[in-house]
Amino acid sequence: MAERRWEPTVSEIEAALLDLGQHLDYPPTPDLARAVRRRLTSPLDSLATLDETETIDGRHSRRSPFRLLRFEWERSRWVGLVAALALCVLAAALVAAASGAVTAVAERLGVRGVTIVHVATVPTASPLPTPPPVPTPLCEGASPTIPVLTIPRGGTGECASTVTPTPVTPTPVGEKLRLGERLDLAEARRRVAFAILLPTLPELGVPDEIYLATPPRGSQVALVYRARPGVLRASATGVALLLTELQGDLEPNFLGKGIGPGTRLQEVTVNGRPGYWLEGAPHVFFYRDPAGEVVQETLRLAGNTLLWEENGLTLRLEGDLTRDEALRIAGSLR
Amino acid sequence: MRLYGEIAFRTAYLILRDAAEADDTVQEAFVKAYYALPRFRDGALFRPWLLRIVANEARNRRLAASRRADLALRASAEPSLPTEAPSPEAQALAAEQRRLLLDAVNHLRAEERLTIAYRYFLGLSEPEMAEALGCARGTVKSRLARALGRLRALVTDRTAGPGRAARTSDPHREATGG
Repeated sequence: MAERRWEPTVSEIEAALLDLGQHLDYPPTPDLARAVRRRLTSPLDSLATLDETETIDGRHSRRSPFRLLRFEWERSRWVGLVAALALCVLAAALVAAASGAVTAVAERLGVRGVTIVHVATVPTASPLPTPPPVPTPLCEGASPTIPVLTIPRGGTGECASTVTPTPVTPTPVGEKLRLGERLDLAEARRRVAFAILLPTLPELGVPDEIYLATPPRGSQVALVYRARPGVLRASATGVALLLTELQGDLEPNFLGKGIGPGTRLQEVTVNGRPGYWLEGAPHVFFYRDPAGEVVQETLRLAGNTLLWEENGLTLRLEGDLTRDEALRIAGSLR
Repeated sequence: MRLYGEIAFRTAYLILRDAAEADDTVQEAFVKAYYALPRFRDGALFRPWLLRIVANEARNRRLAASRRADLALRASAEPSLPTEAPSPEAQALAAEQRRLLLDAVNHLRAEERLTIAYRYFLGLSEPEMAEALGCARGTVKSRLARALGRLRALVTDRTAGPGRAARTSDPHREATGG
């Protein structure tokens, strides 16, 4: 087939190229997010061909996060930490350049697990409009369910002499934190697919409030502890301790919480597994839920946070705690 | 991921011209980008930084033997002039020139093709191209100019020449020639 003579000028060629670009037959873009995630979670396997029969169901196999943790942890723990901290600096630019949604940063690469992002403005915990009444310490033995220490913090030393086992019902402090639907423990256990872990330290007792949230996929249980005189100090929100358990995986190399300028990050070991201790300014937080989507979690308490992974759950312990207090509580989880 | 996956995949495809290779390339590139993210400079543009990783990965693969198809046109025949309904002759001419140009693009070396693709197919700006190609902006200009020159030459050489077969007599042919 002969063509007619064509001697285009530069601008004609440019216009023709733009037109051509609109008519190019590209193959369909493959589902990269899924495939990239697989490669990131099986670094030893990615050298070989991917096993196409491998399925990713709601829960990732336990094998690969552990392999990844051990493999990546030993190989590059300090690199990972440096990387994570370096990301704080870069992420501010990314956030500015991107659409503005902080999750877009993590989603750019479909990063698995928890992502560090330095956010220019960090959401602060929303305190209750009026502080809840300080519960009058019950006299020792007054309540069979809530053990009481004999040394109340401050206070007049007086105690309520009620003998009824039912404590007064204060305003549920957790509701202001938008933790989800309030349930009792039995109901929560029925509703979630994972085994809820509880601290077993006697001085903590049972959680005061339990909430169940259901982000787009996966479940999240929040256990709220109010002040325990001498044991737990409440923040302005009235919550002393917040233990959040969610289905999702930590990514040690690329971990994170959104770190403000005043936050310190430290690697710790929790129940034999790597964890992270964050002190200081408020945070946001990213994890990867069972369906693989990166989810942003806003902080609930302005305090310190212990973050670790156990039984396929990501656990977060927030409160006005020292590191050792937090580790002790975490160690008591059953 | 969705936002960058398409342009990354297309970049790899434009270099490799093999969908399966491009798929593999982009996956590897994203993994590398993930681990390289700490080196991402504050203030730099993310998209071209990512595409540079993709292009490097594709170049590495190109050295290995791989099937090579040509870039192709989509089957649909929508007119390229949106403002007015072109005449059948104009449409035919546009289609023919499109094929000619595509053929010329397929004959470019991979780097030339990438330069052209970044600018005219993938819509990168000049600063983005500098980042994606790893060169200065002035170099981007000269690379583009050389690639365009080569395309012009390819197209002109293809349609010039005394040996072309006669088409059905077309009174407009003389007018459109040259």
